[in-house]
Amino acid sequence: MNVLVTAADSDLGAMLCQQLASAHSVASIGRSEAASTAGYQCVDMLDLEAMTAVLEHTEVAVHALPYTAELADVGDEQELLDWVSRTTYVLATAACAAGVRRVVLLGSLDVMRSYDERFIVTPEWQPRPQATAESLAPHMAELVGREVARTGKIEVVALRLGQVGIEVSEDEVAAAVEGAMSNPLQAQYHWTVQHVASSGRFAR
Amino acid sequence: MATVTEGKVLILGAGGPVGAAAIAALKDHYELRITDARPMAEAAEGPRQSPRAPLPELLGAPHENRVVDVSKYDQVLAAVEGMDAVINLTVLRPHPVLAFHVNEIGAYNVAKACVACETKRLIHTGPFHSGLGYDSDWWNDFRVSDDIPIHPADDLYALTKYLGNDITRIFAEEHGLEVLTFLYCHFRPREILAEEHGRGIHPYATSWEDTGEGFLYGLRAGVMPSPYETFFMCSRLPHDKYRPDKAKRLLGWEARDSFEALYSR
Repeated sequence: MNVLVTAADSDLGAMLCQQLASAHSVASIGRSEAASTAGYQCVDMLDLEAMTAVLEHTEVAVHALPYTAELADVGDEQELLDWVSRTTYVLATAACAAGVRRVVLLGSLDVMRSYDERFIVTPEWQPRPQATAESLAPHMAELVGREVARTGKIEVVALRLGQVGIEVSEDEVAAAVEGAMSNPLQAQYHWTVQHVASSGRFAR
Repeated sequence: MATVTEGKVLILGAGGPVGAAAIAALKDHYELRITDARPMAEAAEGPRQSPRAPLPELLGAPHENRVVDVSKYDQVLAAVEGMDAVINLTVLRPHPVLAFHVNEIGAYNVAKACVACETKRLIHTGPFHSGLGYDSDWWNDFRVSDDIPIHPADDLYALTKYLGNDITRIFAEEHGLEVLTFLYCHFRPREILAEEHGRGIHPYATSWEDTGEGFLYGLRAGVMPSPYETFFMCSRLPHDKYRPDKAKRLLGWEARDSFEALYSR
């Protein structure tokens, strides 16, 4: 499968590129000028034309950026919100134009943490991000993904990851991404959400 | 008490026709801080958004005119300071960058500043896109009511405003900021020209004049059942596609215009 991974210049993105490369042809992009990942390209992810070009022949795009983006990367909270929302919109619309079959969107289980810990919180529960840019940004990415998927032009699978290394291991994240890339749609919905955690309050 | 019957009201994005309608309806009741991304004197000169759309009146003291870029938090915070209520009319439709900056980041800045300044009430505004050309929009439905989730699809304008709505909702629910979100679709003048008779009307329509009055009712309404409430701000039309019942129930507002001449023989 031809796979594109965003935020390949992050620890999580680099790990995914490495693990997915054993079974797939992986292209890796990010905003840093250089990264250790094989074949890495610095791409302006806010540029629709650039993204459409880089997505050519891609079958699945793994959008790791919403999970990895941090305030320190961009400068201020407004930029963080804009960066995560807009890159997701550009990626999703470019992916539709390029004929990409599916986007796997990596978000965070943090959007569900404000529920009482006694509750067994599943993807059917409404996300409850806090009113901060750091908390809202991955939620905005999910809304963009969900709404673009609603058009039926593309499939989007959102994986809400627990804290990597604490609630979920890197291998488990890679396995979840692998599954999200190829598992059939649930009841033909173009939008699917899965929680990814093997320990802690969100483990099932 | 979130009801604002007098005092100071900030209008953001007042340079367009909705701003013009809001200014006309509120100027005799409140002290207005009227803002736009461009000077209000420039906005008042036109051109009009459409041939019969109203232009904002340029007001003098005790009202104040100010340039505010809603994407800049420091400017928004300075504008919100000292205000009893805020009306956010800012919108940018087709630009791939500025649509996010104004519709999403602007909403974040406004909600954050209102929380910081303990503003009594925020009236947020946005579109209800009745039809976006895909099967899961609401175009083929009837009796659609205010609280139905908006489905913006991949439309840049609809989606970025939707993101702004959700950010505003989250601020409201977390901080107890009272937010009334007014939704619009098609605007037109109150006056019906002779050549318009029988030409039909969009099933979600509001006159500019009714639009302005809605803000007065929104500011004066009693405490809302929850911190974030959404309202269809449109005329009740016999198509029965969109029902503005909640505005009547919670705000006491009902559009005066029914535009009967447009859909009668």
